[in-house]
Amino acid sequence: MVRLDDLHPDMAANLLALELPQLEPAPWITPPPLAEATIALVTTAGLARRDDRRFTPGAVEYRLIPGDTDPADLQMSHFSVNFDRSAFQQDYNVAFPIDRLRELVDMGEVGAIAPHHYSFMGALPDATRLEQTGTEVGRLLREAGVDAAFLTPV
Amino acid sequence: MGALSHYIERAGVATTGVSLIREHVAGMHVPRSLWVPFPLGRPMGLADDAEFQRDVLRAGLALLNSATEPTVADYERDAPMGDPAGEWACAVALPQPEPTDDADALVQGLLDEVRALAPWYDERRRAQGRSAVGASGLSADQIELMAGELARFAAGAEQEHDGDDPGWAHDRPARYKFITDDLRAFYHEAAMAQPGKGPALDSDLHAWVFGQTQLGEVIRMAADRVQESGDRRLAPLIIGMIPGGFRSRKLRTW
Repeated sequence: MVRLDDLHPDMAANLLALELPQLEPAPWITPPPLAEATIALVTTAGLARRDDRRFTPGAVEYRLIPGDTDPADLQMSHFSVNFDRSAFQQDYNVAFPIDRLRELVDMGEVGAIAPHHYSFMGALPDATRLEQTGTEVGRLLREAGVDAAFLTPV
Repeated sequence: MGALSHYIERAGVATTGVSLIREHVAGMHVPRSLWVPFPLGRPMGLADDAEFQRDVLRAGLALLNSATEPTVADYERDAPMGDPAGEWACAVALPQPEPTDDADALVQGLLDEVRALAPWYDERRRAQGRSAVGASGLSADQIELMAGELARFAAGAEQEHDGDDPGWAHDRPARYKFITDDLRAFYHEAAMAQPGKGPALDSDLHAWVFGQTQLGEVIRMAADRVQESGDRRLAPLIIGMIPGGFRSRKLRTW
């Protein structure tokens, strides 16, 4: 089990020192029952398709991951090395659970999987820099009929 | 993840997901989040364990229909990792790394090591049908080109001008960070394919690369060169090349 106390002291101190933006919450959303809902994945693992542009340090733009992307073609260009990269190297589902989501759809537990998923670069010292692209992704998800996004960090 | 959750919700799309730092999502009052007690880099817990990953995903998705106000739920199941039978060790005997400032010797030493690991890397890629190598823009088939680029920089003998661009995704010096990512991925994947004790822990792989390989020596030398530039704007580059706890004392204080 890993908590902040288990991390390298410098890293834990840096994480705790981050100034957390206090954002005005949006009106509460009540999504449809999961078995009727369309779900997208949104990750800050810095993933991109092999033939797409890699992320650069401090990038705030997103990469599109179409639903028919072969996950084996996903590359990670996250800037930080202070997380367990061997996990993604071993199994992409640890950071981007696309196969697991498809299985829940096949089992009837989730209504549908979104046509597109989205990837950002994480570990930004100021997360409010994602306001423009994050809001845009929300709008694009809504227009695609997506009911909810499942977010994964690394 | 917390800010992104708020921005997506503003557009009318509900969010849920996994959080690795409970203090962050709780402090930002995200609508729904499942805190998991797993190491950074493993939001879904165990690799190659579909049942475990599905359980985490179900727990996170369930918040969509159960939460009626901002909620951080705790996932109680632990994710045991590593081989409890003993310490992991690389099964391939590698030449002992030797410090040298001679660029040709450094390049050759790194190439010897890469070639010793290549059969196991190839086996891993064949068995998995994928590889994480590629952050630099080059493929694993160009791994020796990457090794030469990094070792020459580490020895202070980088080429001033590129010839034909083989496909680098980043200019120098950022390129060196992503080459280290690719070389470390190559080493890790080669290690994962070897016979012997089960999957190595991330800490085992760090200790191996930075304590027992020529690659670790080359990465440290490259980081030293960045530091010697005196340009503190490049400090994040060092942070992006060597994990915390494996940097030299003088790098930590820079």
